[in-house]
Amino acid sequence: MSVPRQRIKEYYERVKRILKETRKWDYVVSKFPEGELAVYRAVTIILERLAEVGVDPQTFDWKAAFVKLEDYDSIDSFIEALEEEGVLPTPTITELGASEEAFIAREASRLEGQIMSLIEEAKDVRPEILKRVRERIAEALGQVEDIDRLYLEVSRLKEEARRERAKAREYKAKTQELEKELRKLYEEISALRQQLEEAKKAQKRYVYKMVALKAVSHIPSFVGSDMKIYGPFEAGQIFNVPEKDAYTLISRGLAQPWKPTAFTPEIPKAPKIPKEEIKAKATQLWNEYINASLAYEPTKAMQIARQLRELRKQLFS
Amino acid sequence: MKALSKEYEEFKADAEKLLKKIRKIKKGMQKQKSEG
Repeated sequence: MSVPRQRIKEYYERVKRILKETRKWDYVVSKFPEGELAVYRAVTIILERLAEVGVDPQTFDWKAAFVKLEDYDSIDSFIEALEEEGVLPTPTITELGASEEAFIAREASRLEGQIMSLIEEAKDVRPEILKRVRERIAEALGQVEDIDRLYLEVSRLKEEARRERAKAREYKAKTQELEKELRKLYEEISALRQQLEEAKKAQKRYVYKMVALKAVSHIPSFVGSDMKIYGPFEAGQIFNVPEKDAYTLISRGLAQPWKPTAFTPEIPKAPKIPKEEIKAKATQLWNEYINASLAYEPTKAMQIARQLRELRKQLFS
Repeated sequence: MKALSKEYEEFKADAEKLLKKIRKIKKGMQKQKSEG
């Protein structure tokens, strides 16, 4: 409930006078970071609280209350002490809950937005990344169960606080706890979304165009341009490698592009020697073989015989 | 592709459960605020 500014000023001056008379003013002003404004705020809270319950501020013992102000570290703890002493009525539930409830609703909206974006962004990520995200979501589900319980407690306390003013403080504490838990979950979901974005960026960076090849001969294992290990592959085996590695393998004659009908791998052929040349060489070797045999040179004869066998193979292949 | 969509559907189901709870809290708070 708002109190006219003139009245606040009037009671502020009164408190200031009391504190000056008791020689506490300078100390109080220097103690609180807000200085004189701290005293002004304390006066405002007390006046508003009294106006709400219809108590005349003239009946309030300002001197007894404010001479103890120097004992407190903050205006909030000073007000709380006055409430506990019973000299100041506790705030009504409407006043207490309004800002917290608005904040919780806002925080829940932000969280809702984050989760919706997360669902959308997770559409085109790799299964292994998605699996990790899902694990974190399962953890978040556990957290939200606690939040839900807290929320039910807050709702119950609010009802109780409407009937019983003493419950107001408990209600406020639980509302703040709920607010804190929601904020924590929001931060975790935001971090998860950020990690997902980074994983997606990394995924895009390392997309390699793959090419299907057929091995012409044995290919030992190798590290591909995407830093993955490929192979070993046996002749005739069909496999996928990054485009860059495919060029290397084809240029070395180790593999062929794999297209079932378009490319038929050719078997490399040995150059052909004319038959006349082979016959002439065979005749020459035969003569040498006869001579070596007649000259009792068995080693030389065996070598020539081996060469003759090779020539015969060439001649009849 | 089949594995991906299955994984995604499972993730989506969990995320929607989370969303449902959050929406319940949000609605409740908005209702309480208007009552207040």
